[in-house]
Amino acid sequence: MSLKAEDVSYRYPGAGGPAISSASLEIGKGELVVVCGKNGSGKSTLIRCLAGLIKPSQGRVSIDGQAPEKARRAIGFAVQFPERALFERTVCDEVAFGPRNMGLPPDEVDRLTGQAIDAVGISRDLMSVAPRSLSYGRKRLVAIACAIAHRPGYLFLDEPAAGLDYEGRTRITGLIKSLKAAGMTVIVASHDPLDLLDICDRLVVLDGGRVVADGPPSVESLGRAGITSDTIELARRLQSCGINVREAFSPEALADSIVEALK
Amino acid sequence: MIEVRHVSLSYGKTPALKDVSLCVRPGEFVAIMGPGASGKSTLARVMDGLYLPDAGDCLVDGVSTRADPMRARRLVGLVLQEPDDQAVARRVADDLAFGPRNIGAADIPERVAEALLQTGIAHLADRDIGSLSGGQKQLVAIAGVLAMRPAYLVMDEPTSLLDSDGKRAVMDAVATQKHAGRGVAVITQDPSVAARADRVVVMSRGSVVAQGPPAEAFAKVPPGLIGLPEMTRLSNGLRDRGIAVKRLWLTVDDAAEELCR
Repeated sequence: MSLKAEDVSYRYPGAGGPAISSASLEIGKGELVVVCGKNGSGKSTLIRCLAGLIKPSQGRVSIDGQAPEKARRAIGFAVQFPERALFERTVCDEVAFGPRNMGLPPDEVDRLTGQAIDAVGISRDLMSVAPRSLSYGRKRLVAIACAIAHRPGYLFLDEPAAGLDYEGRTRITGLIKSLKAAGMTVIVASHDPLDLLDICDRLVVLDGGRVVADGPPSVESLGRAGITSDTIELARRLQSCGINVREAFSPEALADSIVEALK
Repeated sequence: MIEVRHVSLSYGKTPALKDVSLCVRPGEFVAIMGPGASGKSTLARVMDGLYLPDAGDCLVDGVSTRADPMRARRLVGLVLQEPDDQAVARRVADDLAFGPRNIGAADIPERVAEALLQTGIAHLADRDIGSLSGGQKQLVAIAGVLAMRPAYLVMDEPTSLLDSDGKRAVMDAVATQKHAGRGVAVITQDPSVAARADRVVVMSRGSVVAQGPPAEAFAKVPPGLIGLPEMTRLSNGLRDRGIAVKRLWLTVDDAAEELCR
């Protein structure tokens, strides 16, 4: 069971060049894959193609062996700023909207709604509250609950932490970690993936619409995405002055490595 | 100088700012941090006279925004959080020319070229704004305000959608403005941006809870309220692991200096 993209290209109508060129990748069940790259590198376009929201101009995508349009229920997708599309009067109705639309029986709808709300870590006390009255961070969680309410095998998140404050970002990272632990395949597009590097299985780097790196995150692959950080820079400086630290992405991991190196 | 003096402001019955005081001096870069709904965006709008306070006052170069809000708006360039809220034309260069043309500027092409250069988007001048990525639109919004050559610049989360190149372009633009003697206030959730400020102001629930040079403000701030710079997290992490660290670090240089010795 996997999601496969073979030689996928996509060109927006009227655009000069393709937004995605000949991308091929396979994502296995339960993987957490981060798609990164500079602004305009094609991150959103690629994950839209993978999820079947747009049809590639060339190449093909298959989800568990099926065409994406036949595998709709296997897909959950939270677009950038998904909270802008919240419209129901209560959190409960908002999250139940998808399962209801699928024609599921009311008790099944209730069960799925409750599970999705628990999964994103929102208190059930908020179920009768208007989504619009919630903080940005909580709205984002409600929107993600909507995307997972029908229990998709594959969840796509486009810039899930963009615009959130520290608490909101921390919640999103925790949520992605727990969805992965629960066996969901999660594909995240992010221009700033540093929070996810310690937990993701793979980093797919796009540059000008092409996949230029695909593998476990490394300083080299991050460099190809134009991503650097103070932690990465300091590790390099320490190595050059003889302190033998490991490659680290978070300050906490680097602190562990420094403690070891100084022993 | 922008002087916010004991400003309070409510939306209906909901208080957004409670007795907030701070200032932005010419040539100074002030970062304003805080969780969502702490009043940061409201404060930005008070500083450029778009919102008038219920109590207290905001003075721009000595004149109250209450007395002359239009003058404040001319002196203070405000970059909104949402770049789509700011675009007025289709072509990037036309969008940048809109403001200067509106105030009857004689040197429109020079202003446009200068603003494109300062934000690193000269290659986008002829593009349709609708075809740009979110990050590119954010740079266009900033360039549009720079083309007005304001005396002060207030930016609401200018780097939240930007990749590292875009972020560098914004930070370079901030440095250019600062060196040209303009005061810059940046609302940000990004601690690496705030680490480079002259002063950091931390807000929570409508009030200022910490204020000072970055190291001082980051040391004073209640835990978990805002993200801390990576090097500050590292110095805290080493302390927690029993390694003596002389002072709180902000930059890679701070950390390398102490560790490589």
